[in-house]
Amino acid sequence: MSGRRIVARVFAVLAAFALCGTVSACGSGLQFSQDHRLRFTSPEDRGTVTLPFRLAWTMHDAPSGSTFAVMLDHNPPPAGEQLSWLFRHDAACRADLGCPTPEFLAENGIYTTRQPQQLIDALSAPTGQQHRGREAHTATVILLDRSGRRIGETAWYREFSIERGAS
Amino acid sequence: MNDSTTTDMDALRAKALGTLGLGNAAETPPPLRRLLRTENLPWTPMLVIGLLAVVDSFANYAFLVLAPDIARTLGFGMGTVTVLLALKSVAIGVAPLPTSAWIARWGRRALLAGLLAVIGSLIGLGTAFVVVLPAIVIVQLLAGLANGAVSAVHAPLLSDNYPPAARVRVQAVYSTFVAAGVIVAPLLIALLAGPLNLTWRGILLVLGTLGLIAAASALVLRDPGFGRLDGDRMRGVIAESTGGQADEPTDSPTPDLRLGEALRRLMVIPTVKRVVRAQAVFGMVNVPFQAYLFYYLDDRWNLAADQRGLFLAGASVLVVAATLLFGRLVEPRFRRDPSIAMRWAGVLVVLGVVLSGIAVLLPWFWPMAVLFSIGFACVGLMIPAVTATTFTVTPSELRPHASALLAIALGAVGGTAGALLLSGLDQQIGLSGAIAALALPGAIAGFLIVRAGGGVAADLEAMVDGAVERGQLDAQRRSGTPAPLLACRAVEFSYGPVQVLHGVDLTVREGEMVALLGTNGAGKSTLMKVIAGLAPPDRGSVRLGGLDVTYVDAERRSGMGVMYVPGGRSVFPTLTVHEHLRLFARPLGGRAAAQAGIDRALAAFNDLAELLDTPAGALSGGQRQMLGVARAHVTRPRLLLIDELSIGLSPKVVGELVTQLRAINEEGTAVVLIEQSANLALNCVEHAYFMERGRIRFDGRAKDLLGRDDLLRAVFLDGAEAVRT
Repeated sequence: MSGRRIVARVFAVLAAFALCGTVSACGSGLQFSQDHRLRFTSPEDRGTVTLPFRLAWTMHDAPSGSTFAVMLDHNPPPAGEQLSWLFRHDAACRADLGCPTPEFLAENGIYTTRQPQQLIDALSAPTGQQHRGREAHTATVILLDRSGRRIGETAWYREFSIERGAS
Repeated sequence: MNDSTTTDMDALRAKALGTLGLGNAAETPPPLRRLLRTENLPWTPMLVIGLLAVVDSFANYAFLVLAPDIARTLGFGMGTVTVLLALKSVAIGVAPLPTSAWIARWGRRALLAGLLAVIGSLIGLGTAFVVVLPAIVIVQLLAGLANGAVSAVHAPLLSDNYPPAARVRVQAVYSTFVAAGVIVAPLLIALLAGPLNLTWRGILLVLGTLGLIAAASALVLRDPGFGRLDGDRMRGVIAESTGGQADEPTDSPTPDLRLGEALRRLMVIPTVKRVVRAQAVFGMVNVPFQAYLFYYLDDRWNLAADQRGLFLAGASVLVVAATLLFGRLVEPRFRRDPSIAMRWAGVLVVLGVVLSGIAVLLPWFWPMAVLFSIGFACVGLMIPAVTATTFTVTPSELRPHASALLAIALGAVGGTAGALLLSGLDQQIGLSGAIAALALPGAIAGFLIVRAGGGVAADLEAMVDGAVERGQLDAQRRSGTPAPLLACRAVEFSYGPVQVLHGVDLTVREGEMVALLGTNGAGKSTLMKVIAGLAPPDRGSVRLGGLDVTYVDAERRSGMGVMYVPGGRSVFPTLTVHEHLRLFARPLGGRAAAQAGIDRALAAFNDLAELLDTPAGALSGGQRQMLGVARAHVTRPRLLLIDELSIGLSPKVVGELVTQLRAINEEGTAVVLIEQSANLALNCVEHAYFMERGRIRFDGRAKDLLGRDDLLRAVFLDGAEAVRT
């Protein structure tokens, strides 16, 4: 078989696989287009804030009974997982049946709220950024269902900087 | 050599260089379009391979830009992203060499280019459907392998599709496509993420699909073979000049080199060795620079990810323009002096890193962007210049290996060293300071590139000489003269900076026995190692029965009938005599043949038959030497190389060994004998060579050498008694 025919056949088979994959993925919960139901209102994108500050947003068409989880400089758990997934390697937390408590989460820069806002009064500098002039942070908001599991793959995030020592 | 022969050789060399598109100072290469029309060559390989390079850029860029979104979706941190990128770098470093070995074995590079594009696109598509971290690890490893393999395929394939007169411009066009990928990718991603509202999954799906469509264009690629437009033409011109026909197949081929042999062959080309070093140093700068640059743009100028992409795209616009201009400007000069591309590129790299270093210290955005873009464009010219020059001094069938070596030096060696040594620099002196400080190693890389250009002329000369020599051997064949069993031509060898062989010629005919004499340190043993394949020469050739084995390794040469017996060091102390004999007989294959070989050896050396279970370490010096020579009785090689037969042995033992040596020679084995004792050696042979300070000082009849007191005064004239007994 000539090289061109081999390439043509491989190409056809792979294209068929790709098509099947695409079609099957449409109903699999994978998210291919962006979700704009949530919009941040403060702080500004890549704006500079001083502590304490309020992270706020608007949301429409939220699933009933859902809550927001706000994570500062933390990536969210995968779809369908609870916030405790983030601390699955934390031996102290795993040993405590009630963990993670809201206090424990807050200490780690994670908050849950039903309101479209969250007051942030403490936030440590991310590792490796202490030496830089601008202290960059990322706030990520996800939706949790009634059992505290992440709904879908959607995450909304806002980047901002903190200026330390200012009044 | 008389004057007219020298003139003929010079003319032949000039003609051969002309086929490589070099050496003609007066002639300006025609515009690319006219050149392709004259040669009846299509544009399609350039366009298709360029398109595949753009697709490759997409895949690389997309993961870098989308990594934070992927991490947020799948629940892993940026630390994991860093590990993923490191794994991918390892895969990129690992892939080129096996790919070049695959190409050397199977050819079919057009098919491979298409398959790699399909695989790359499929990996992009696959990433779009990934839901767990292990799957991302797998697809990124595969992406790295595909990406690394591309480096051994595209540039050499392009080089073999177009004549040498267009080499710099063709490589410049390829680099232009790569830069175009860097421009288009962020724009496309911005379009898909912005107006088209796609997530990272959607973006990868679209890019993968576009990649598959682009990969389909590889169907029009044809395999050009190796060196059809340069090496083959050069051989044709030489064949015509030596009385043959241009399309006559050569009778003195080089056996296909294995991967290790091919790499060893490449690394004795000084230009390649120097370029590899320069690439490794540049790679040290390149990896931390890329990391720092994005942090710098974020930190200093508050640019978001899409803005950083646009910044890079803007800088790449200048790279595109500069690369095309570089190709046009350098090609005619390259034709006159092939080192010019490297020299320009080296100087431009120095200029580029200095400008970039200054740029990041500027307090104004636009001046910084302009100065940085100019620096970026200067540095971007290095790749086409280095590739075109390296390919010019590399045999066509080894260009995939050369490409792989350059990629490994740049990414795996330099990149890893840079990540380890320089990645913490920003924490010491700040981001701007770190980028500015990288100008120093960058400038060193530039100087190394300039220096690499200095050896190009000599390397070209060596390549042309090799082709001329091959043509002369073909001419000999046509005249009915059989190729000698062993022919060393103009062999040069150095231990580091100390050159020990200087243009050594040595010929041994079938069944001949020759002596190689010389003072201590003359280079006799080194020459034996070169012939045995233990020391690849810097220049020159070693042919066995007309077959060029210069870079074939010792193990394969042994299979071709070359046996090397280093005096007193040819046995393993812990193995018994019988174990040695069985080991020697192993290549003979069948049990009966092996036993027959062992029986021959034991019949020749009766003493050994009584010592079968004795470890070689417990044997006397004479017995050890007998055991070493017994190997020739077992395997009956075509060529036996003996280094110091008689040293430290009694006359009786020497006499026995000489008797056996004659018997081995009478059975058809040619023998090269290195001896301290001139009388002993010269009484054994008809033909002798005398070496002094790495040069052959005498080549002629043994009895004539016995009359040359001026040469033999430094050699002991003893051992004759043993021969006479």
